[in-house]
Amino acid sequence: MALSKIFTVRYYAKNTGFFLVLFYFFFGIVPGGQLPSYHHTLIKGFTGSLDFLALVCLGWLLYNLKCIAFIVNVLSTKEHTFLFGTLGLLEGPAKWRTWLWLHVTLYAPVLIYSGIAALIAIQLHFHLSAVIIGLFNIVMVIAPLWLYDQKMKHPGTVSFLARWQQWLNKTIRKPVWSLYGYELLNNNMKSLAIAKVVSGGIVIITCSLMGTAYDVRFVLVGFLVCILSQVVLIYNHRRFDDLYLSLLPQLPVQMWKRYLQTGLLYLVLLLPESILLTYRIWEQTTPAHIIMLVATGVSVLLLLRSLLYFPQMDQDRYFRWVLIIIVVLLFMGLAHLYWYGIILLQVPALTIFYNRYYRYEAPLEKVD
Amino acid sequence: MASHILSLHHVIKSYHDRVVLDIHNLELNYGVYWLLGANGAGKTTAMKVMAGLIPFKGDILLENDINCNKQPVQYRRLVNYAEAEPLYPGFVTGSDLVSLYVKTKGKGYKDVQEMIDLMGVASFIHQPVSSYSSGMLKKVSLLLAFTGTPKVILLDEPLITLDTQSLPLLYTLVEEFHRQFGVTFCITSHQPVTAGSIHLQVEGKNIVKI
Repeated sequence: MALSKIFTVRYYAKNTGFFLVLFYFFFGIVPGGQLPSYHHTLIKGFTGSLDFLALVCLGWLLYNLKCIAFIVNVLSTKEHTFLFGTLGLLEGPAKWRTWLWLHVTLYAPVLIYSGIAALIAIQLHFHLSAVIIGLFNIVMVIAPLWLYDQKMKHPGTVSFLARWQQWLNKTIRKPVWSLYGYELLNNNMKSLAIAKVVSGGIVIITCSLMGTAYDVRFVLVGFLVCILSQVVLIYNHRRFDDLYLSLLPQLPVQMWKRYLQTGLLYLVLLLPESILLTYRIWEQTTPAHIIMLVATGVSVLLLLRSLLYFPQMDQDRYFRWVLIIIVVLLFMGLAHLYWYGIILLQVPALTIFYNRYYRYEAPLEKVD
Repeated sequence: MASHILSLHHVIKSYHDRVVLDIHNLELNYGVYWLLGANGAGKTTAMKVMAGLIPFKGDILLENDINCNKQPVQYRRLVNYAEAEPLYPGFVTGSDLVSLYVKTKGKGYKDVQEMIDLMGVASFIHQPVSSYSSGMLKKVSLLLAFTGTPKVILLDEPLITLDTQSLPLLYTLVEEFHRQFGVTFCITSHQPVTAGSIHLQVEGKNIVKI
């Protein structure tokens, strides 16, 4: 069938690498004989804990968005405009059947695995998890059909979200501190998603391992590992500023404002793991501890960004500094010197930022 | 009108060990300057140094009072710069940029909406810059250079990629801002910019009046 060639075959061909990696993690890392028990334990793990299940559903949602984006992008290319005159003529059940079939062929890996997970959940009497998995996947399969239908009703190479986007552009001005955030969401979604999924997993593992006896040092160690998963984003922040934001130093903005704006960006960047951590430990801790943890995270990122105002700070040196900072903080944490740690981070961060901001010049080879 | 709008003293700009600019003394009075020089002579570097956008040794004073290195915020409020080949993040809209400039540089000599209409950018100002042609991008970058209340506007190759209808408009704006609002211009271009402009030439590593 022509539609399979256009959508399904091309989707799997294009994502061969992605599926190979996924296949390796699911079926390659354990010996063949242990595969069923490995997956049974895994499914038991996420169907037995609603937090873990939420994280798994998030992964499935991201995969579904990938499928939707693929179909919408194919429909938006010039060479596939003929689909509007063919697929677009379908009406009633035939139309919905076609879209359903197309979407299901792309979403099948999740459907199969989640179907097995739901069956095991029922067997283990985790009925709520089974219902959640069932309902979640019904939504994941049905909702995109409406999006495809809308796309067919608005032919052309422009996204059907374009009008809505233009309205947003007219109404909302992007604040200067948020520009790198937009960059991550627009052009670096993969790095951002990996960083967030990894740090989300770390928070869950940290809180699970800690058990009921709250230990701020234990949480701090977990949160510092979360910070480690963000350091590449900070390194890329300099590259983004060098390439696209040469206009920023031109603006007459006070240095303290620039510093606060950077801090605000990093606070927003750390918001997902901070919220998840707060949700997991708020009953066992005080607001001061949560503020301390978040302030430590933001301060580490600010110091790392400030260090990048030294043009000779290449990737090797940068990661050496990352390790030095994390190790120093770990020792200070063990000695319960949490707030001194924040001061120790903020003082050099602010000093370097203040002294280096206008003296910084992007390395030539980077900008070229 | 104060003399010596812009004074450069012992300005040295080097990349690693290679000196690219060595300006012993250059004083620009109120006027429109046309900076000449062959490709790669260092015109853009000189403009960026004068805009205070890249580090250098020496002093640049605005009206013998505001030091580029010591009072960077005041200096940037009074010196605007438009790049030869502007580059912005693709998701940013023209209106985001205008709003950012107006917010930081303050209210301009002319109403910003009037400038938007005049420059003919109103039809695409709300679109992301990734959808702009190089000419549209250039117009937005020039519009930004005319925001606020600058004493000096530095325009690096303002004529490239502009359509022929926009050229007279740019000349008129330069003339109007110079005569009416007392703005000093320094423009690099391979084409003549405006009648009566004072010529500057990059000679070796120095900039001299000719």
